Amino acid sequence: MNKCFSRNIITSILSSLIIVLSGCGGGGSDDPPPSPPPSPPPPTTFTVTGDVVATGGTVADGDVNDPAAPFTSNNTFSTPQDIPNPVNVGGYANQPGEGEPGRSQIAGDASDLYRISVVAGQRITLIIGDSSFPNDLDLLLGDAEGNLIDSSEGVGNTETIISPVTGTYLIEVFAFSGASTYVLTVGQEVLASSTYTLSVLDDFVPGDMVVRFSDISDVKSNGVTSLSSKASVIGLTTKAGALDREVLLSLGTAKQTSNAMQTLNINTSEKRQSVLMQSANINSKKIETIRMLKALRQRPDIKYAEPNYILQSSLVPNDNAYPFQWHYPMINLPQAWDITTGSNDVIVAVIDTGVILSHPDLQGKLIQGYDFILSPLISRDGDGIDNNPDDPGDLNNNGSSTFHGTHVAGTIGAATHNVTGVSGVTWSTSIMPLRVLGFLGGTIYDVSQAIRYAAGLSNDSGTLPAQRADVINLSLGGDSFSQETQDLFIEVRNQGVIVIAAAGNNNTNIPFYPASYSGVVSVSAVNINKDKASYSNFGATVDVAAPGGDSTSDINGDGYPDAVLSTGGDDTSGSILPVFLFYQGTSMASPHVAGVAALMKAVNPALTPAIFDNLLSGGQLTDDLGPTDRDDIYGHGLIDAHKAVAAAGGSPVAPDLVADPSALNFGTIDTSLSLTLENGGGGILTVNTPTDNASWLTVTESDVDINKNGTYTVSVNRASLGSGTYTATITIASSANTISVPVIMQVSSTAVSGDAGFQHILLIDPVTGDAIDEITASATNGRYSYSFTDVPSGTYLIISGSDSNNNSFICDAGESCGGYLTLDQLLEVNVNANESLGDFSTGYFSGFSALSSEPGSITGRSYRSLNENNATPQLQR
Amino acid sequence: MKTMRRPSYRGKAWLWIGLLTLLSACRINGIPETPTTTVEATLLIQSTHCWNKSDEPSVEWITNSKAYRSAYNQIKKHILGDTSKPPYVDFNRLGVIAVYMGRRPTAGYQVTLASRTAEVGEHNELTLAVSWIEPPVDALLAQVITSPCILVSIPKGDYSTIQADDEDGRVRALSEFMGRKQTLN
Repeated sequence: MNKCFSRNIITSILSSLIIVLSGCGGGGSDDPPPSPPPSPPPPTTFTVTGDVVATGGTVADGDVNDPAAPFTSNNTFSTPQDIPNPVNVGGYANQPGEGEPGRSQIAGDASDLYRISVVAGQRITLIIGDSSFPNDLDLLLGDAEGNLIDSSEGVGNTETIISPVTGTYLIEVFAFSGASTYVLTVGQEVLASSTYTLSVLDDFVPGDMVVRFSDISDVKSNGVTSLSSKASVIGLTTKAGALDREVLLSLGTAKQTSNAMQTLNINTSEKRQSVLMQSANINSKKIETIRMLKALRQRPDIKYAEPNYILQSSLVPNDNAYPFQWHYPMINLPQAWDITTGSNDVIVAVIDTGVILSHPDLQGKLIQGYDFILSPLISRDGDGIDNNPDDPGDLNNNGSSTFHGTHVAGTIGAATHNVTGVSGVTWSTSIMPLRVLGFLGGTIYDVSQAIRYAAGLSNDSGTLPAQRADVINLSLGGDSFSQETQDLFIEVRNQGVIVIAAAGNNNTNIPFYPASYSGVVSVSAVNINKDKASYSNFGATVDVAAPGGDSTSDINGDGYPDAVLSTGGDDTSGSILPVFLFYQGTSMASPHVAGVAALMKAVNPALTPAIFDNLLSGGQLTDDLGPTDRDDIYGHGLIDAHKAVAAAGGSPVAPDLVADPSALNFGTIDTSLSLTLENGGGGILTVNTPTDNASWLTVTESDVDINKNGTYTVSVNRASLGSGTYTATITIASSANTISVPVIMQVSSTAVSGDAGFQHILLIDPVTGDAIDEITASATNGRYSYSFTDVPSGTYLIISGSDSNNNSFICDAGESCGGYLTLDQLLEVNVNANESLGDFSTGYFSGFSALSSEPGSITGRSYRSLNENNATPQLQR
Repeated sequence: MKTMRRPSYRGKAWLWIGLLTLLSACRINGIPETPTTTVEATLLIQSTHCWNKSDEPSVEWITNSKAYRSAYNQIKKHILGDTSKPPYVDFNRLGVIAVYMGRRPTAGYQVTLASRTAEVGEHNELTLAVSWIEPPVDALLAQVITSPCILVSIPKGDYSTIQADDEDGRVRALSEFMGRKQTLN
């Protein structure tokens, strides 16, 4: 028999036996034992519950476009919405027919009126969620009777008004055109104000407009006729000027004005006026001028459009781009220019990437320089050192080069008061361009040779300048210390050269060189709010602070980042085109100080590095910031050009008592705040003991010097006070002047809860970013409860926000937003059981980026709700 | 003379099983597979100042002209009075990849397109070849904040991920996840 066949039979028999035996049960009975009941299947869906808490100090506009949100009209004098102080109000406004379908789209919600008590000097800011054309919101301030007091009517993404005196006001948010969300914030500090906004209440010639066209390539160069034809395209008449510079245009006669408005499609109906404006007695020509300027600013063929202001202030340059240079008024340069605008006998060496020698706004400002880059790889100009400091660009691809040296040089001394371009710290100075930075940076050896040349010391060029530099600017550096370089700086200082350097951008207190060398003035950077710039280095070697900028904000609402504006280049096309650029960095701060040093030299040619240092350490060149006297962040303070040139000339500015902040707001919770009393001028100031006119207010010394300059603690006691708003005044006398600091406080019998608006709370798939479930809720004592049921096991995000504009996305700019665990660090929730989560907060943000011309969101993204124009939400599995 | 035994039917079967097992092991162990396709990559714009708010590198996938214009405006925002227009992109056929280096504390950083083609893997993962340039550690550098980026057009596709690899094959930037939410609103 075949062996395989035998094996198969055995296998079959065995298999059969196994089957039969497995069917056999236990002994004694013929019935099989009962099977145990099957276990219930484990649950596959769960419940997730929790609360969202509205951030304190938040208030929601009573009439937003979301039809599911609670409604209370705030559109008239008789129905203003009362708001606390401080506050962040999230709202929505639209002209009829504008914006997404919703509650207000057809009829419109053009005006939102709020009533608030404020103290003098408080900043009221409107941040517009979507300021892209045609959306335009304005901010107006009226007294309690509805009389217009002030307005901010630009076309940017921020409007600002400073309250003039303590009192109760009406604030109006007006949709001049289009529709947008917004955040209205009233805080405590008086910060940098807008420089490029519009106000019908400003002092300007009615009907006149100062305009600069951005594109004149379509006009033949045949003089007045060409300008007239260009102006007629926009319906205006020409009064003066030329195409290649500023032009003075006019609305003309009533008929010409009407034609101009029609040409630019400007709606002049009464409905285009805000509530406060309608009741105000304003020159109609001024109103028309503002409307025309708004329309012109939104045209791509218009570079600038401004009222013809009537000036009465300090010397101000007439350069077109000066209004965008917020960093010059910040350091009191206009006041300094009343004393001196500099001298061409003063030389500032810019040791950097070189300079675009052909830049039109540097013509007549440059003297002979040198290129000290040894390596052709670094220099990118085909050779080693040579006498040509022209900047060919520091990177190898079109659109990438920084033209950093051109920017630095322009800050120090761009051609100023020449109508066109930017202004410089000095109107007259001679700039010595020395090239040391190229592709991927530079070397210490090349930099040392340039320093030697600038100081009139022997160097590898084999030449010396006709006149050595008075000031050297070094907006560069690294981490390495060199004793040889330290010795060189001592030698340079002994030559009489003042050396200024950038403190570095690493946000660290690790010494950075050359700024940290002895004998070098180290400059840290502040932003538009005079706060330390996020990137700026700090530490024991920082000597002084200056504006370095911050590109993440546009607080002044001029449509550009709050960075430093100066000359620059753009090589995107392959050719180097002269442009004007906004840059940020301690590189930008350093030339401010170098330029001020040059102004000081113009006043006092005998100024030495030692005298400069003594004046600096004596507080005569700066406004103290941060802790009293020198500190590691601001050094001896923010450079003050006015004080500096006055001190250099031997006529220091008189002492001047100033308070920081200039007003105190305790809100409903704070019990103590700090108040700094300091000398904003020169010389010595003695401060008397502050007095106040309220029994609930106390002022005590906290950290003061022998002259009582320094920090005080202001405390309030709400016990035994009834609910309401309380104001008081702190009066401080000094050896120079007497000032008052207004104080406002609120007492509430119940805990004040926030209201972040009608919330759409989303359960989100973190992989796709899509919402799979939604709970909607109104605030109850500042809280929104949610309970997601039938949630499949898995991981999820939970996001909560309002949809004020009803576009089916929450967390758009101007809408409230929050996320579990925090919005900055979202935590995925792992659901495999019922979950009861901790609270997370939602609120309105006044710091969202408004730089993009497209509507953006607070966190960089919005989330689509399931309530698409208020459809019924569907749980999607 | 010995003759070679031809493999039996059973032996051939084991041979195929062994080969399939080997190939599967390769996939499990992650040995790179040959990409299935390449697509054309066209540089649209590069800049050192893209005003990216994050310090971290990132990739964004842009599929419409509105988002493209927004990204372009962001790049040009630092130029006073700039009215230039972005290079034309036919969004019926193409999409745009934005590769951001992230904020850097100095000059000397640059990202550029290293190849005119991009590779698309078996699971629609797209890899863009870039040059990721950073300055030497000991260099003296201009103290200006930069944020380099490039915008590159590629044929539209249902890409699962998009990443930017440098010449050493190191992943420099990676999209978080794909889908509508990745586009600039």
